[in-house]
Amino acid sequence: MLRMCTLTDRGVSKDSNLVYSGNDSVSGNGKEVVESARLADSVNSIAGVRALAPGLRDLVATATAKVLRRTGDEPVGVDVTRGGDGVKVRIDAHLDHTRSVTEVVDEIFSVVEADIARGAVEVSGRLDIDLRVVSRG
Amino acid sequence: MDVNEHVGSGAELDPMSADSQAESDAQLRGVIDEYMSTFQPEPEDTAGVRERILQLVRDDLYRGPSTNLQTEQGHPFSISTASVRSIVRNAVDLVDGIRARSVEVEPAGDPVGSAATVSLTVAMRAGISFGPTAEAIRRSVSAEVQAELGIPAARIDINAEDVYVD
Repeated sequence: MLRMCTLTDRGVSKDSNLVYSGNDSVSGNGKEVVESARLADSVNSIAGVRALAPGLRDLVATATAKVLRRTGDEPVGVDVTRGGDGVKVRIDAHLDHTRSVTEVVDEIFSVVEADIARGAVEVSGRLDIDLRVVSRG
Repeated sequence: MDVNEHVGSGAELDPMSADSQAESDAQLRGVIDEYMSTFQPEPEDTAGVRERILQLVRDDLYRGPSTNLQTEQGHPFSISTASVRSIVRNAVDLVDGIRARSVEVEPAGDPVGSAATVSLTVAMRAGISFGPTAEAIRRSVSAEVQAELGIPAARIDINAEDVYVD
C-alpha cells in the first residue's frame, strides 16, 4: 500500500499524478514511503508512545497541499531515507507518562532493528536512527 | 550494520543558527525536490511553489531546543529541553516551601549523555532552613529524573535567589 500523501482537487483523487517506477514492486522514493509506514505501525504499537509527529516527508506533503489548496492524507510519522553510506530512520515521538523515557527509547530501537532484521526495511551500510522525543505527557 | 554513535554537543542553545538553518534548508530542499519529482502539479500551480513549501515546512519544523542523551544500552536520543525542564520543575515544586524558577539540564557522564547535570534557581519561603531543604530538593530531583527520564542526575546545583512570604 502506498502511503505517499495523496492530493485531491475538488474531491477527485489525483493519484494519477503520482509517478512511481515499476509495476509490481515499488522502488526509490515510493519504497521508502512504504518502509516508513511499516516502521510507523511498529513504533506506534509500543507502550508509552502516544503519537508520532509528522516526518519531513509529511511536512512537505502537507505544506504542498496547503500551497496548492488541496487536501492531504494522514501523516506517516517516520521518515526512512537513503543516503550515500546507508539508511537514516528519523522518528519524532510524543510519549506518555506510563514508562520512563529511556525504556521507551530502548524499545523503539529494538523494534526498528527487529523490523529491519525481518526485511521490513532494506538496509545496506550504516543504519542511523535519529530519535527525538518531542513531548511527554 | 552500524548503529549510529551518539553525536551532539548537548543542549542546543541556538538550534536555528545560520549554519544549522542552512543545513536544514538544504535537507528540506532535497525532500521537497524528491517529493515534487513524484507529483506533477498544474503549470499554474508551480510559480514559487518550492519557496512557499519551504517556508511552511520551516515554520512547522521548529520545535525549540533539545537535549542529547543516551540510554544505559547506549541508544542515543534527543528530547525537547522543555520536557526535561518540566520534569525537574515538577520535582522541585514537590518540596514544601520551594518554588522552581530557572532550570538548566546539560548532558553529562561517560559517555556524554548517559547522565545529566541539573542547575536550578529557586525561591524559598521565609523561615526555611536552606541546608536540609537543599538536600530535600536534591533527593526529589534525583528520584524524579531517574524515574521519568531513566538516567541519573550526576550533579544538582541549587541557587536560592529569592525569599517569599506566604
